[in-house]
Amino acid sequence: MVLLHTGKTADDTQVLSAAAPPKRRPPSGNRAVLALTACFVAGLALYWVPLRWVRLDAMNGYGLISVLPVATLIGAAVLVLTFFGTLALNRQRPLLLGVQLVALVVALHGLAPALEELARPPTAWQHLGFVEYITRTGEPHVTLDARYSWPAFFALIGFITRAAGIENIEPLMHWAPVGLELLYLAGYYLILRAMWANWRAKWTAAWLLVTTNWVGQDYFAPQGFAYALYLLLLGLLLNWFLPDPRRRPGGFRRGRLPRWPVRPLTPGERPVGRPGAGERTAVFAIALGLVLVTVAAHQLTPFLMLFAVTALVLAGRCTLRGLPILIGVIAAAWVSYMTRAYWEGQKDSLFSGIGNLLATLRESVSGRIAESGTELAKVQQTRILIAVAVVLLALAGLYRRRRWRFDDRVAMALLATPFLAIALQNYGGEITLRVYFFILPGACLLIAYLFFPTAFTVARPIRAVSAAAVCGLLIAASFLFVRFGNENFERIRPGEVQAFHAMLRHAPSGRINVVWQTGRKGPMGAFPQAPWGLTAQERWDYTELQAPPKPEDISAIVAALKKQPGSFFLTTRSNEAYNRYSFGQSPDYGARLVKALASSPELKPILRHRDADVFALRTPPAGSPPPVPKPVPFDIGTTTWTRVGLLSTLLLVLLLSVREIARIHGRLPKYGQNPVLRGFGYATWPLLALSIFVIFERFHTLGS
Amino acid sequence: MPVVRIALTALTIAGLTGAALTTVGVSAPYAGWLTLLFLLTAPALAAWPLLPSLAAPTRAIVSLSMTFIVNTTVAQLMLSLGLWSPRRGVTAVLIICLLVASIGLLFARRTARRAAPARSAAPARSDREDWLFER
Repeated sequence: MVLLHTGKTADDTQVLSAAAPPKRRPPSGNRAVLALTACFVAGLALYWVPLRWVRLDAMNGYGLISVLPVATLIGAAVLVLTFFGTLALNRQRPLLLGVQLVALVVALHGLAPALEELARPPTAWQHLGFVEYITRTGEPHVTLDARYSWPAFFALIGFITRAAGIENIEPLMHWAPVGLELLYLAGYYLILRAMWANWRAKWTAAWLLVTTNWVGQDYFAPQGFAYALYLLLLGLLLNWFLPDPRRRPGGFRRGRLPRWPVRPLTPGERPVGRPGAGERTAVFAIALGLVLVTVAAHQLTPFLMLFAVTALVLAGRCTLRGLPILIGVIAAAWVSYMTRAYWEGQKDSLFSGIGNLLATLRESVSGRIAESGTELAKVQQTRILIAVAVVLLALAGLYRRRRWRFDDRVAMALLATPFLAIALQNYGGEITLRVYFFILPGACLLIAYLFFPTAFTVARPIRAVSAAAVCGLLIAASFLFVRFGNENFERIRPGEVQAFHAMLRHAPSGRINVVWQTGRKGPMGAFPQAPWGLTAQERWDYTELQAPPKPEDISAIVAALKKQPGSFFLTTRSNEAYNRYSFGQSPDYGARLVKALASSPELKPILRHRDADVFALRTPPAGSPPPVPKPVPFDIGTTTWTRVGLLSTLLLVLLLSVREIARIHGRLPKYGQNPVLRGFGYATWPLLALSIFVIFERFHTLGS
Repeated sequence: MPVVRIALTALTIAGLTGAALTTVGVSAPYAGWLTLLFLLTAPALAAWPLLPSLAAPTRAIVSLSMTFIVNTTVAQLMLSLGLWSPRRGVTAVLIICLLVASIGLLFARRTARRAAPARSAAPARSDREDWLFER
């Protein structure tokens, strides 16, 4: 009913406003806006109010969607239709559209944070632990975890919160997904600003960026932060460093390929404004700053930045032609000098992904699916289907734009370059997820073009808006289905946090050994589904046990606890749910296990909670827990050439930056001019060669 | 726009108060929140004069990038050099912001001087967000 109402209102507006004289605001336009606003408010109420009665513990294997009230789903549909109804208006209503977009971010990405007591997922709590360690000791524990070698995000959060005297970061963690999504929209706004498209396409693209992002990388994590910086960097480059066709008689450079004997293509982007060289220098400095921060914050994102920027330069859509070399040098230097603790002694696994393309793909696609037939497997298969559908729709959009004679090189580059990352590293079997995350800016734009391909605004786009609305409904529904599909084991229950604090209270010093059960022991060590590592990270050990077929068989647990003083057995409801939904453990396994543990004469309970249970031996083994080893201080590591390499890298970065600034000011000397400045240009190559040589020399000397 | 100017001035004064309190080490009520305000807004405000030709939303987004850059760089440098101290970090951010702001003001004056003769010939071109306000 609501659907009909919205559609009808939009339709009426179209007819009436088409009949009204231009430039004068027709009264029916206001009526349509009022009706849409009413629909929007009703949709919000329908979505949020019934959530008060949701019982999270009633979730089944499909995750959060299984407990969402029908009214909430109808509310979501109303919100979707209202947005596309607003797009059907003849005039753009930025305020109404913007408010709806923000409300959508809160509704979709704030759904689990609003329903759950604590921040999700478990990994966010490890990141809290990183922040805690850094602020407590003032240094990164580089040998404890690889992520300490890229600590900028943790340092940033630690610095700001401690300077402001904020002790409890949980609220920040809790709402990080909403905040980061809004940041992504800010960056995406800059990208959209440079595109040659009509306002409906741009708003649809922004809407799609919010709704197709089910990947869940937007929690309290360096990758979520780095993604915002990635979008900002691309936005800066497209707004300030797009070649200006007005300054070039032939428009954009078309390359050296012979032209087809058809009408020339129109560039899909157009420069906005004409900022002066001084301002563009400032923006270049900011862009360089973004690169530096990203390089220090995350392992993968700088390389995706490098690919995207290189593609923009090669496509003739970025005038900073030295920037790819600059990004490459900075990223390689960081890996070489600042992350030595990570790669030292493991030269082989570092480059494992290179050339191992098929294995990486297989591992990261099929390896991520639980046992087939289970509910979780269906959610995971739907995720792959969405990813494939998004790529296909984007290609269709590209084709449609091409039919309109648009040359969307930037969108194509943004869509295609992330796939290069697959050849780089398998990233713990997660790389396809990451690739999907990074193709979204390009893909969303192209999908929007599928419905609204023209640069001018069409007067009555009822068919296009209806098609987009149907697509939007499908995408929003699939988002709600898959986004919180892992919620059984990704939500953090309060008792699980208490369990870790209880263990810390019982073992105030020395190492703590957490014994836990997994449904299937893999070749690599794993960790329990719990907020492990949330504090005092250097003190924990984890002993993984294969869960026996019968939960009453607790002999392995007792044996593991006897090995070391300061040992505890931990079982959390999240971990039990993970074993159940991923490995087909029986639903009552956890309850039977806890019952067996509680009735064992050898064990005593440390914490009994509805969310988690901790047990220890009644008579612990003699002695005190092993001491915590002293952390290895951060050190870049010295080889014969390290100093030379550092110096040459610094000089090179300086030189390349100066060259880019000279390029911005149009002062890059041409052949035969200004021999001194040209000499600087020639110095780039030996310095580059020297820097690369030292990087390899360090890998060779320290890596083996 | 006087309202925007008043708001920006108020933000600057509040932030600087917070920074000063933290730098000196005075534990006043709200000092923490004022410091937070300073860290979040000061780098953006310092970069504001460097971007004169932009419309407000774009200018705000680009300036906001400065907040991430300055705070993260200071935090990372403190960590890598073994000089971790949030208080000294605030001082470093203050110094960087003052430097950037002075560069920005110099730059703005130079641009104004250069643009002064040209302005009489042609009105200053504003960078309109035409797709947002397209009718």
